[in-house]
Amino acid sequence: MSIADELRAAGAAGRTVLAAAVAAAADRWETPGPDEEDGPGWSPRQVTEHALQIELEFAKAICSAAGLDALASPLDGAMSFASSGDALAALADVSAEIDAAVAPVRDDQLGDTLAEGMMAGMAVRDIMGIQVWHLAGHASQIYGPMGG
Amino acid sequence: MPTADELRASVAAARTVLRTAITASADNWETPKGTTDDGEAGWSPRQAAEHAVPSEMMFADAICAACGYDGPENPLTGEPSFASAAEALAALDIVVAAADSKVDYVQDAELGKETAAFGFDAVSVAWLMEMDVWHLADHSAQMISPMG
Repeated sequence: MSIADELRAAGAAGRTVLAAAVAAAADRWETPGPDEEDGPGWSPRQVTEHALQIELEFAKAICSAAGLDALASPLDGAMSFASSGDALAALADVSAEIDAAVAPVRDDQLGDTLAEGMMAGMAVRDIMGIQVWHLAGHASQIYGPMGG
Repeated sequence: MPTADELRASVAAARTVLRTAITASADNWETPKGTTDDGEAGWSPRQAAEHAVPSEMMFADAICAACGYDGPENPLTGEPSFASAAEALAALDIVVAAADSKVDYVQDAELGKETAAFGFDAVSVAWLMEMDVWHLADHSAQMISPMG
């Protein structure tokens, strides 16, 4: 398996883990998480809406850095999920779109860097790695300490 | 509630994420992410792996206890010590094989069976499998966090 394939598989696995966390949070979808320094923690809904938004941003950045066609969001700007079921459906659409968009990334493109934006200067490899971290971290957050 | 197959798929995805995190941490294997005041969040990737990999056996043991199975034979002997990311990956492979040799048999009808585990008087098989996903995601995110 190429390095690009491994990173793609890790991203897909991260989205599967996020989906598992979203499904497990159906009964406390809008319940705030544990208090944080600046107030109540995010609810599973807030975490998921953020995680999918950023997931699309990562994918756009990967495509841009690697010179691939721009990713078109399947959500058409709508990032509001009234239920975990809505979020799971959106996550499935987003995952399919991202899988297709990053499929052409080759190993020799992993060092290509993003020219502009918040992630300017980051290499494709690094963006794909942070993508996995972001998914795993927010999946963990949704589960909460030992399931909340 | 997810089916046993769905829960197994989530655990497998989370293990893929852990593998990615271990691989990505090879060059900073013993570098702490913080101080001892940070608790687990301050662990080095090595410490996180030495905790997360053997924990897979603890989850498998608890699932087997709930289901009334004999627990899997632990392939790790003594205190876990992974001098490199490669050693941790090899250990993860044999631990996963041992755990799955039992957990693969869990049926949907057994997901509600309970046992005492992790300080709780009664937790279900489904809960244990979901917490396995959370635990893997949590330590994966910790290992590859760009914050540390």
